[in-house]
Amino acid sequence: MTDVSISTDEQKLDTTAARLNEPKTASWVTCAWEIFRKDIRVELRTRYALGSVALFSVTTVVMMAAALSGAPVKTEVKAALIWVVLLFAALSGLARAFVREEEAGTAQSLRLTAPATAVYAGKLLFNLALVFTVEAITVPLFSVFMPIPGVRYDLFIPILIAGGWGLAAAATFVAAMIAQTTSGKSALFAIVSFPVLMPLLMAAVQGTAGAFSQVATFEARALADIGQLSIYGVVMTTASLLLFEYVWHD
Amino acid sequence: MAYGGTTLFAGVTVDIRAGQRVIVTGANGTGKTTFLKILAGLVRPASGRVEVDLGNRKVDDVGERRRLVGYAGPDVNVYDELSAVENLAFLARLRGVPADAGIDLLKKAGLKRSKQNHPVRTYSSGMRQRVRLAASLLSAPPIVLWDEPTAMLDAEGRGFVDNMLKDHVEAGGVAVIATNDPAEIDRWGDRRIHFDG
Repeated sequence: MTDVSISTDEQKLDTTAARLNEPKTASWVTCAWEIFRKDIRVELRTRYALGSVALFSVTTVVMMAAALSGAPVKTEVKAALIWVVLLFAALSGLARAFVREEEAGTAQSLRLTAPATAVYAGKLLFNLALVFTVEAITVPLFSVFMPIPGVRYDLFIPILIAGGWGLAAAATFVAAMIAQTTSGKSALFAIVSFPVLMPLLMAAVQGTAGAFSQVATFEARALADIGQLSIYGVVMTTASLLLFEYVWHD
Repeated sequence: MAYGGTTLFAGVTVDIRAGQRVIVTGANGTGKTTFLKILAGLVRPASGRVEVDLGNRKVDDVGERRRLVGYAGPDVNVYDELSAVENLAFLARLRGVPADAGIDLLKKAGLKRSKQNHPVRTYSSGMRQRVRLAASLLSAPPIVLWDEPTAMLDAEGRGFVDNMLKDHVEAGGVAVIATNDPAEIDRWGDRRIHFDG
């Protein structure tokens, strides 16, 4: 049994009592925003995640273009390829959100100063920024090296946004879980992420194929896929916010 | 408190009053750091509870207790890529205090002004420790928990720690400090808790 009682109720508190007794706390939104800002600042100084995702995106797209040069590639295959590149490029950077905090010993400072859900929200914002950066690098590059005629950008861009949101929401939560393991973080991240991200990837690939297809029925199906991707993002974000306290503190 | 089925310590009952300095001593591995982390709310005890009496109300919620605590220990670090000023500004904003609140604390911790805006990765271990100690006092928490606060400090740094501790206790704060340094035990120890292991 560990019983500890700490009392600060003595006359000597006097004028400083208010200062000592009730430390102010920042709002949830402020905490999430500050964590996001801090991560952006650290990333811009180190470029750990940006460097790895940019390198992965560029090399993979260029290698695929070289390997498939001259070969007829169906739009469905191109849809799958673009999401394979986006997935692995993003995963190479997303796990760092929490792994770096745990390895550097800064996670304990966050645990003491910010609400758990605000930490998740701040990290999610950072990972969203990272995913959208990956998309901003990969998609134009892919379009240059593997041109796709007649892309319906009014469908493709919402797919990228909704798919990116789901990817970031799921990966952020999984990253927090695996960050507290002692070894094999990268392998564990891939293993745990794969089944969680499968429904998202299937809808994203199918929707992207529809946006590339120029076939009316496939384009209509892409609209439904955008709905599915959005629901995935909402469900994953809500579930993560509800469960994050247990992952972060226990 | 138990880890993997092994009981680290049990039957610890402590009542700490405002303005007290409590020294926690014991050999390596006996549970000093774990005890501090339980108080901070960073580790959940296998059984038992921690209650903070603020006079007008009692706090037993662990989330609220974390905000009442300032913790400095070897495994609680600041960001290498940021400067001391940036680190303290970030933590201050999370704590809901002005971003420049840390400047005065860095001075009290004895971190040279010329170094305060350099990235922490360029600091010596003693300078990092000064930043950690300053960070633990942001928002003037009523409870300060320090794990080996002078382990990496020179004589001048120890003097700064003495002064920071004196200010905190004189303001009515509680300080629980893990150390095995005989001089510190004599100097700071209003009370002492010893872990036998």
